[in-house]
Amino acid sequence: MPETPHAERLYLECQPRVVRYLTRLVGHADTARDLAQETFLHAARSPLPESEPGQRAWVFRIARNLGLNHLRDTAQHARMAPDLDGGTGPAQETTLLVREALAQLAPLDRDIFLLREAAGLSYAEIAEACAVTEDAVRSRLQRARQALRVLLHGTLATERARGVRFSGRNDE
Amino acid sequence: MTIENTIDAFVDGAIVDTTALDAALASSDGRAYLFDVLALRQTMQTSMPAAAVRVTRIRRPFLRYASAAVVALALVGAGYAAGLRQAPAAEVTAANTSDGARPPEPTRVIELTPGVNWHESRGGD
Repeated sequence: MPETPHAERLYLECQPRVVRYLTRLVGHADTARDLAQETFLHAARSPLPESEPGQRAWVFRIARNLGLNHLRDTAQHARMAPDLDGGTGPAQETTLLVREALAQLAPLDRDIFLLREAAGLSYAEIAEACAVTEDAVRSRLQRARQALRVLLHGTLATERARGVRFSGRNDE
Repeated sequence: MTIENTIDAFVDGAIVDTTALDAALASSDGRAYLFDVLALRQTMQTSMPAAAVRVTRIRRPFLRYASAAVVALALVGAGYAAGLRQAPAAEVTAANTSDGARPPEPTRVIELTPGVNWHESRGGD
């Protein structure tokens, strides 16, 4: 699929993060993988930016557009419907709660939050991927976090009680 | 810059003014926000819809068959290519033997003369 060493490196580096981001965005892992493949096909066909952060931002910009197109196209069909394979465990319940909370955010706030938390992009990369300023990224990210604090209050209390681990980076 | 901005920058790996961070962490609101942001990050990491992976495999057996077909085709292709590589070598060997190549000259010749040093005998003798 990747046609140049550049594209191959980018694929190896970004593919898991693109899938994570798209899984969160569209709510279905299989759809996310298909969209990720499409993302890298698009990226391989187009001239990549020079800098590595620019390339990452470019890939996520494509992924975001494809994800949003998918959500728009499937808006009539069970949007954000649970994809939990009929399970009822605590982890799946949390997954559902998170998904419902994310669905209540403003679309751009949600995208920026996911690009940070699911894809691990820096503020500058998110700004480029979403075509907004870094200040806008900061304020929208904070707004999304504040909203999720309220929406997921019980879940976060449980998580805090278990103990939290500090992680400055979120891209592994 | 608000307490939340400072905490956000800290947990997101951006450069933070240490005085502002000190003030943010000194307030209970700041610490509560930090713990919530970390808990939220942890929740996001642990609640990825992994069940969908299994659903995918059930829903799309075609992909497995297609993968198996691709592997089988690759093996057949590799075998064919290996055969092509070996076939010319066999032709060269055959051409050498029929193209005037001679066995080496004998180093010793033994002549047998009937009745002298060659006696017919029946089987079993």
